[in-house]
Amino acid sequence: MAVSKRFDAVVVGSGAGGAAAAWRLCEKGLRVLLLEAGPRFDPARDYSLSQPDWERHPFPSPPGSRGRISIAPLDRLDPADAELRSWSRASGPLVRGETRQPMGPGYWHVQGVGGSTLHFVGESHRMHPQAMKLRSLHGVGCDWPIDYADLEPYYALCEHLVGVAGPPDQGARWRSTPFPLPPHPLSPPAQRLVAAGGRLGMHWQPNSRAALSVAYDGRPPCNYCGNCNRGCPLGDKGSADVTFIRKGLASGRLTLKPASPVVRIRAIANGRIDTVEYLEGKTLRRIEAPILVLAAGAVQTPRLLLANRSRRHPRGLANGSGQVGRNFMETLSWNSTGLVPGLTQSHVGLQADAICWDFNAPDAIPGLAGGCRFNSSVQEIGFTGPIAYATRVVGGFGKQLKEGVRAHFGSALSVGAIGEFLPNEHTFVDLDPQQKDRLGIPLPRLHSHLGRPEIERLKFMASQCRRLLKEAGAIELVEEFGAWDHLSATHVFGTCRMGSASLASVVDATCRSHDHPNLYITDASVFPSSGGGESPSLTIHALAARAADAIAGEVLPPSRRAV
Amino acid sequence: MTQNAFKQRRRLLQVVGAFFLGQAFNVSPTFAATAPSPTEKTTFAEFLDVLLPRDAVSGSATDLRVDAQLWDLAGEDARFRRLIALGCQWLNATGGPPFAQLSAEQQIAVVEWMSNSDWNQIPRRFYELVRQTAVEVYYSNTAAWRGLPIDRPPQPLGYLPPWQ
Repeated sequence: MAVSKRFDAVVVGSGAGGAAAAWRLCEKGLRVLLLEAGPRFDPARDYSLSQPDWERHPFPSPPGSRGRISIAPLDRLDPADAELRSWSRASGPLVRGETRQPMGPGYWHVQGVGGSTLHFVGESHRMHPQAMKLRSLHGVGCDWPIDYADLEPYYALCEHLVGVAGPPDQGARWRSTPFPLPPHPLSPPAQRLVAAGGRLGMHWQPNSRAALSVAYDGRPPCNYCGNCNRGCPLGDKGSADVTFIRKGLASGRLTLKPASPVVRIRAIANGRIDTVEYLEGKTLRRIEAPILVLAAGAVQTPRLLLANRSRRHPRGLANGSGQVGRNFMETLSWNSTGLVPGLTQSHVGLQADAICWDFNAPDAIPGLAGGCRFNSSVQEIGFTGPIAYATRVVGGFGKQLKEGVRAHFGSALSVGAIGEFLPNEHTFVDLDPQQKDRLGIPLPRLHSHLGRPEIERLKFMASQCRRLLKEAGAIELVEEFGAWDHLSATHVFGTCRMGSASLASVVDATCRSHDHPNLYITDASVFPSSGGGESPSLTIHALAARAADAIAGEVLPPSRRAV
Repeated sequence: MTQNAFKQRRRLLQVVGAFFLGQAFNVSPTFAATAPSPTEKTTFAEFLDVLLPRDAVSGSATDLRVDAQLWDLAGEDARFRRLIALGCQWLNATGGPPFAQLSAEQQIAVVEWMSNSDWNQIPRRFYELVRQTAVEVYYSNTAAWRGLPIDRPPQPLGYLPPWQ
């Protein structure tokens, strides 16, 4: 097989981290090959929001757009914690049985050009500075080897590229520049939560969102259809395909190859990554990788590293520490929904448009280390059409069913919460010993265990959600679901932890492997902690752009630096 | 088949597949997906119209051709076809006249009993899966939205402020 040498860097994965790294490397003057295992989506063809049956279509999943995984047996459920059981008024308990179960695939992600930013809601959050110092300040978890100040310029850079809309008041998250766009107007359900939170002494505010509040950079503003996570057909949502990848391609230095899964990564005697093999159609190609940036996400990235075992690297690539796949952190989430008389338009507006950070700092929840946040979630969890009301809110059949849908449509109010997930020894990703994908690579296997701190944090989150709904005038709760009995991870972290000590981490503060000098990892697998509910995409972008600057500073002679 | 019709069909099959997978309940894989008999057609249509009856605001399930779409689906999924066959058999073997010949009150009483019956038996599984799929098909038709504060899909117009 011939080895192609055309590129300065090869980036694997075109989601939040790969796309941002590829863009920044191109900006700096490098020629970049971006390999994406999944397809390129066509919003006009693939997204269904203009069809009357849009509710039946979550984000599309054509062949190759979701990586196969396996899930190890999950925890038995302790009846003492049954207040956290998922249920709906229409269906009763959502988990029938005594063990935690995956909801849907268990790990929600998109393999395709833009990665999981295609189906993300588009919250654009900076980490709380204290959440990056959990060990030294609060005695739990792990510190980041960098500070908020190290990331701040890159946060600002990426916010301006994406077009983030948000309010000036950001508390501990100090800013060197204002958000590029003004905040979005609060939707009817968000207005209810802001008012109710105020009466309870909570500070709710417009969320910072990767969605355009006004036209920006050739993209139109949001039209508030309330269905961001089904795929945005307008292009106002700041998914990586319409932001970083579009800009990278415009530079003329980016070559994008969709549907090109990586099969093998080879390291040579001095530790450097030598070549990458990938499949293009049915043809196996080998490409030289002067720089390799892995950004396949916190499940697929460790899987690629672990699967590339060799005599020289018997534990897999980048795994001298034995930490690849360890420290997996998943999404600790909760949602409560109630019906509010007089509320009639809760289906309109931007998803997750209001947020409360009051309990986000690691010491903000009394008696627990690790924070959480609350947000308006009614559109995000799908109460945007009549099918949701008929299947989740209104039980029964006949006249009562139809009248119930008409009576309640638009009155659902939901509060969501996401909290810190502290790493534990029982939660990790390894290779499935039996199951392999079509390329013969073992599937990643997820092991998940909720520690006592997570369960107690969930209880706090649930109690606050219920309290808020009651204050907002909800006469009845109609649905609740959360991570206690469901594995339903969207944000995943930690499996290639960043750190200063090569014996206890996988990459250094610039996201470079301790073991391979030309291997970088720029996805959420490098996060040493999950944060107290911050959505991770902006931090992934910022880390990736920062890593790209480090790469460019090292490999490019001054004469080739474009920026 | 249009692109959207294909996606609709695929989504419905996913719902059916997820139901059987999620409930660890299955029927013989050797069952052949045969065309519905006249009795099955009548029974199933009556059952669907008990679930989603016509009222002063909007039509019934069969008014909106939900029965035809579910039969199409059953033609592609032997498990669903078999469940419908068993469910229709059960509806016509409750000890009295066939389901279609019961009074409206009697039909409602039968379906009410099904909705509260043993989760692991045919009547309940039939009720749950048919209700789920019928509701999805029914409310995917804009004719079913009369009386609701929506009259079009979310795009391309969105819901621009000001709001209430």
